[in-house]
Amino acid sequence: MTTVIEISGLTKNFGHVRALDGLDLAVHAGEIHGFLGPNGAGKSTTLRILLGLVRPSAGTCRIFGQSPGQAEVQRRLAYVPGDVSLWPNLTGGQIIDLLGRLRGGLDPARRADLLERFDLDPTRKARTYSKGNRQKVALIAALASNAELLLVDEPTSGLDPLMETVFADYVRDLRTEGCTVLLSSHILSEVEALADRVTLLRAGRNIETGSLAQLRHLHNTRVRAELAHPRPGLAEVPGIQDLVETDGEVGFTVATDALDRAIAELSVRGIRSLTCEPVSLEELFLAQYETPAPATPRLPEPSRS
Amino acid sequence: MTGFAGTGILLRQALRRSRWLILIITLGTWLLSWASGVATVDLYPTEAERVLANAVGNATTGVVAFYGHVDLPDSLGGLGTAKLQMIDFIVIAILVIALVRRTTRADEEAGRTELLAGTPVGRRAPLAAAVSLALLVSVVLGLGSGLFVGLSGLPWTGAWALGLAVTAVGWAFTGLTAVAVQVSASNRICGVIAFSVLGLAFLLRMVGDLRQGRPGEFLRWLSPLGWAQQVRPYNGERWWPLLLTLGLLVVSLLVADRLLATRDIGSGLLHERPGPAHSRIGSAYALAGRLQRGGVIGWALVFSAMGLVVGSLSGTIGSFLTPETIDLLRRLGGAGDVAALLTSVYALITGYLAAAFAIGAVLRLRTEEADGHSEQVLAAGVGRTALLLSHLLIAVVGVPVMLTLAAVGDYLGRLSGGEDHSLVASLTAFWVQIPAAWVLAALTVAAYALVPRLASAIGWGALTLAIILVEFVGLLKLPDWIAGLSPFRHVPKLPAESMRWAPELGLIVIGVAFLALAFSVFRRRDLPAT
Ligand SMILES: Nc1ncnc2c1ncn2[C@@H]1O[C@H](COP(=O)(O)OP(=O)(O)OP(=O)(O)O)[C@@H](O)[C@H]1O
Ligand SMILES: [Mg+2]
Repeated sequence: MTTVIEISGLTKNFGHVRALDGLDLAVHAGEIHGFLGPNGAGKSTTLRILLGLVRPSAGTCRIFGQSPGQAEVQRRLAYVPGDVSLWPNLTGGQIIDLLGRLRGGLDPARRADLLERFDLDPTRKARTYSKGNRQKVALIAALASNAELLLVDEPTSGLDPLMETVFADYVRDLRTEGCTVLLSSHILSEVEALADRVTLLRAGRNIETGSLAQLRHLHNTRVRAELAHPRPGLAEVPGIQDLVETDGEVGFTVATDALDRAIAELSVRGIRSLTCEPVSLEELFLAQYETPAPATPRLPEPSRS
Repeated sequence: MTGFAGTGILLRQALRRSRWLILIITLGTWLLSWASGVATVDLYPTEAERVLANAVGNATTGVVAFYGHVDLPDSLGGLGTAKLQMIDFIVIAILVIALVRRTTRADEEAGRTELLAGTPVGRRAPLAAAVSLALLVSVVLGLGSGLFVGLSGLPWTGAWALGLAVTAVGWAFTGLTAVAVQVSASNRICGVIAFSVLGLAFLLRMVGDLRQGRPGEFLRWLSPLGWAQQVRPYNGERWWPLLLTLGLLVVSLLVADRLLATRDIGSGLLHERPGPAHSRIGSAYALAGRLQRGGVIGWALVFSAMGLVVGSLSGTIGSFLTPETIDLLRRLGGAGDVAALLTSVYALITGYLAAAFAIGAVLRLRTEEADGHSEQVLAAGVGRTALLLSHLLIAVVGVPVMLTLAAVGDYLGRLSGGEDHSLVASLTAFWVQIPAAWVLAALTVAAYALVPRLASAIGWGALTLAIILVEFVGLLKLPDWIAGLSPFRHVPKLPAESMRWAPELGLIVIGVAFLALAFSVFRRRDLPAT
């Protein structure tokens, strides 16, 4: 499996603000990689570094095995910025063509198809588009190129649910054609619906990477059971949390590696009924957001003497 | 009347945002007023000299066209302040147009007005704030100019008349711009409308002045610039034309307010039409060309018109070329015979304009970056060198093209006036300005690469300084090396002087050095800059 994007120990300081703090990220060829994190986590900064727009302060960053920003690399990728800003005096159609041509051409059939699917009027001046329509222009320009790698920063912001589906379908089609996608978002459901693997980012550092299944696996399982012979002691089992006991029924969450032990403890008490379910990713995700963030990393002020 | 809630807050905000622009232009105008006053007193100490200077001015079509008549032959202010007042008029008009647009349509387009809509700020507040700011600035700048003219040693009645006339122009264009921002489909179109009105006002005044005493003189009364001029500072002051301006202000504000009530925020009464669904633009260069097309065409028209006017007017000094007048004109600035002198003076002014064009063209790099457009162009595979070059080339190629247009205009103008003049003489007089304009553009590019946020201030500041150093070198009694910081100081005054290659080549070398710096820095910095 070839790796399209390889980032290790990536650090970026903007003056005294540390936007990235030792980020590691690997995106494999042909996968849709979700890049998840709360506001200000460093997602957009990472994408900008991958595009060669922003220079890293430390760490390495390879894209198609080369350093970012080189013309031959740029031509193999397409980008949808998080803040889409269009030339107000050009029409949507002109902008789509322009970005496509700069990249070395775009597929006219695909362009027409996308315009129809996204229901966009290409003859309107960019100034007069609604937010969602501006987003569509950027999306069509990127999707209609024959890029091998798609870097999209919160691509569905401003799109209505119907258009979100159109986008998701198109990205899936692209994957079957072998395109690699790095999808930055803070909307879990979007990533859940599309991504093969996910990197969870927080305060400039990745805290988790893996497939959604793996991520779930790494985390807790919620267990609910009805017991024939309830007796105390469950609370002492290592790995069991949030224990609730009410006349014969118990509920708790348990870490994956302690599941075996917990079930053994239950069976001693005579299991009458049992449900086990993975903690939903939503909860997991929110939990990541909620745990107190390390105070915004700041670099020491240069000493003034 | 309701809808004004929050005007005070917005006014303070607008003042804060434009404080540097206002401060620099106001101080510059005051300095110019004071310096012109001093110069007038110095240049024409005796009444005989004053009468002569005014007579020469009145007989020179170019002077009348730009600055108007001086009807009181022995007026002390006369020629000197006629020139000053017209420059002040144009400056204040441009300033209030910028201020009103900034605080209304520019904010709407940036979505800032919408942000305010969720607050108790009234619907009329942004326009009210813009208008108040522009009116205030007009008063301060105008009356301040009058004050400095008075302090420079000229009589006070004329000084206050001049100050009020300048204020009146500011007020008139505040009102007109307030209407223009309601009508136009976009902020850019609003600029085009406002500046066209300014150009038209200047033209009407010019034709009116040239036809003084003949049919057509009334045209000056159709122009707010004409009204202000007819307050006649140092020329037999009279105050009633100020009422015309006040009337225009009141009427246009009422109209603007009515239009504001009917239009939608974010668009004007004229609507945007659909455009092409396809585009052939396929390179950074083509994109830069497309983005700057409108501006380049506008500038080309300005340069051609400027050349034509200058050319057709410069030859008509006629019988006034007595030894004394020649001596006088020499004291106004330089060597050579009078016709040659005038040509080199006009070519120099055109050189300033060419530098302004070039600086504006390269500063587009900055707005493209700030608007997030450059990011997309770079992400699409355009190299940084190409991006920088794309807009730079417009400046580098544009400068000779613009100056050639002006030179050809000058030549045709002279031909139509029956003058015997060679095209080469026109071309060389204008072409020698090229390196000086290039250097300022190159400096601006270097500033953009190094400190993008200050690029605009540095570029325009450098041009202003370059002009002041040349125009006021004698008055401010500056040492030679400081005056030599202005590139225009090194431009040979063709055809009055002979060609000198060394300074021209020196300017080009300095320009190349700035560009080398710009390219090497730009390749390494973050974009958008932090
Ligand atoms: N040009 C800049 N100058 C200073 N600080 C910056 C700059 N760009 C980003 N930052 C800071 O770096 C951090 C990461 O920002 P980034 O835009 O990468 O976050 P993000 O994950 O994309 O957030 P969001 O979900 O809100 O888009 C933030 O704290 C931000 O304030
Ligand atoms: Mg972001």
